[in-house]
Amino acid sequence: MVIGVGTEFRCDDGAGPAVIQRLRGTVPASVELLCSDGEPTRLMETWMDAGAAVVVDAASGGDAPPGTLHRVVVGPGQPGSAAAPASSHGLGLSTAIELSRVLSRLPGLLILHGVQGEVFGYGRTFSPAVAAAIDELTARVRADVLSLSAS
Amino acid sequence: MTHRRERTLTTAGIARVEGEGSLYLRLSDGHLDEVRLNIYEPPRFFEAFLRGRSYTEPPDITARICGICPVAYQTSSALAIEAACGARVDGPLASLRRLLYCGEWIASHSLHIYLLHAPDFLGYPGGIELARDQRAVIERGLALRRAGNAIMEAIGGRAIHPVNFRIGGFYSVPAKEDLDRLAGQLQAALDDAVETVRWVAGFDFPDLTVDHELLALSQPGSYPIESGSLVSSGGRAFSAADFEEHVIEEQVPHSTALHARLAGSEGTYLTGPLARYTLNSRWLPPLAAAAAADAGLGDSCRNPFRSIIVRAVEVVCAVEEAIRLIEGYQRPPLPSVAVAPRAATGHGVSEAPRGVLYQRYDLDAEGIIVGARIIPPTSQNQAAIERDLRQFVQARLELPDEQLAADCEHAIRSYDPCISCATHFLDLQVERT
Repeated sequence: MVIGVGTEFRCDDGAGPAVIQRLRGTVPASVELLCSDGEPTRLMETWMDAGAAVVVDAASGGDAPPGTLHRVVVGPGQPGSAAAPASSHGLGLSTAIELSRVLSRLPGLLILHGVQGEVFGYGRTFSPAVAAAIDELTARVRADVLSLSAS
Repeated sequence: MTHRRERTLTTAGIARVEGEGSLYLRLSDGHLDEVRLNIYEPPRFFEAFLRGRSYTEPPDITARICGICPVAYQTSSALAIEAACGARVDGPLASLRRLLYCGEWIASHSLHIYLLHAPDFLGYPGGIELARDQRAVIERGLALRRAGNAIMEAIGGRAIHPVNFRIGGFYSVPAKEDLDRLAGQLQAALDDAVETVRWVAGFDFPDLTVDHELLALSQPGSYPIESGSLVSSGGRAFSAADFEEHVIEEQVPHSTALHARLAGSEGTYLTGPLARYTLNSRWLPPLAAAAAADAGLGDSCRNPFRSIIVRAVEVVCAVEEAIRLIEGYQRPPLPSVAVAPRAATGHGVSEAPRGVLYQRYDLDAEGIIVGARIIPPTSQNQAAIERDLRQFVQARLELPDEQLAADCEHAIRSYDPCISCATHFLDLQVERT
């Protein structure tokens, strides 16, 4: 499954759902494409029974310039919050990962894709850096999905 | 100001999607000079976004304002538009809306109690650490939340941004057996909810009594959730249509949010669980009333920290109500009533988990929205929270900044503001001399 985290009404935060939209029709029909607001218990219960899950989210914080793409593979013993870029959601992706780890509800394989966001205010347009990065982000997510599907 | 010895502390701030939280304190000579709280950005974007759209669209659009309480936004918007169009949704369709709303209360309150608020009382940085030490406790909270989500999925189609809700009712209504299937889960949830009240009632609560005027809905005969008229502890009683005559929003210099006050009063007012409970505790269903009594709540509650008990009692209430509504459910013959547009203004109000949520829509003859107003509970509570913080911080001036920040987060989280669903959500600046 692929989960796009974010909301389309908060500028760069809409990157995750935008990638999901772009993936439709371009990945095998057996791959579930979902959107989430990032609420951690829902994320956890969405991915807990999945063999593999790919999550796409906007990232905030850190020193990376806007538009930078991140990819992190989360393992069962690896603290996600230290390895992954900070999600743009306070009680969001990192909480979902850690809670899932504590409660043994991580999927078999969890791959995080993020794009460093710049603007998170109300609005429906991406910052120029994120707009320029969306196609490449989508391509990288698709490559992971196709690779996982083939295996 | 340059002569002051300034010390700035920033908590582990996290960029928040729903808004940014900041608290500025200026202290001098052991006295608190100034408190400035900025915790919420009102949904002005959505008000503008709605203009020019069809009267059928607000339930879908406003549901996206908040992932935690979409049903509250859907319900208030539908009530407003149905009022404008002279339509009324009652009988089994209204009961179905109340049932859907019960699901949201259960899910939202359970998330707040277990993952956000309880860790503050138990000395944990957050829900993850609590889960690590007390897995069974967190599992109970998650099971409760699942029960709420199950109701939302059965009626709304899905728990996040329910898609089955529409002006006039629903796109489709569940068969009785679809709801009966929830019975077992809800009976277990009822036990969990009662146990939750016992659990949180045993916490240690800081002393704080607030004297704000309390504002909540009233539905005589039942605990207010999905509809009602407004009442206050100051004796006010008015309908949704008069909301903007009684609630005045004013810009304050330090905040992007408007501060709300009640007309004719310079004091602050509060909406949310404390207000709902204090003004309506006599209408709690039997098990919720018994749980409240066992928890020592009495008829009223004016300590914001004890709101966690009130929320737990409201979860019992919502589960109890859900079971009653499912037992009495008869599938409505039609999933919705016809709602024809007309040039008019309508007002709708309901009790979001965090408090009174008001919406107004101005329609033209074709049903195009020419004006919209959305006043969420966090926006209304901001002035009251700021005032309470003044009292709270004054008694803690000697604490180091880090402890002060943690205590202030704890205090603010007691009101369950929209910003609160971040483990550390507050940027705190302290200026000391």
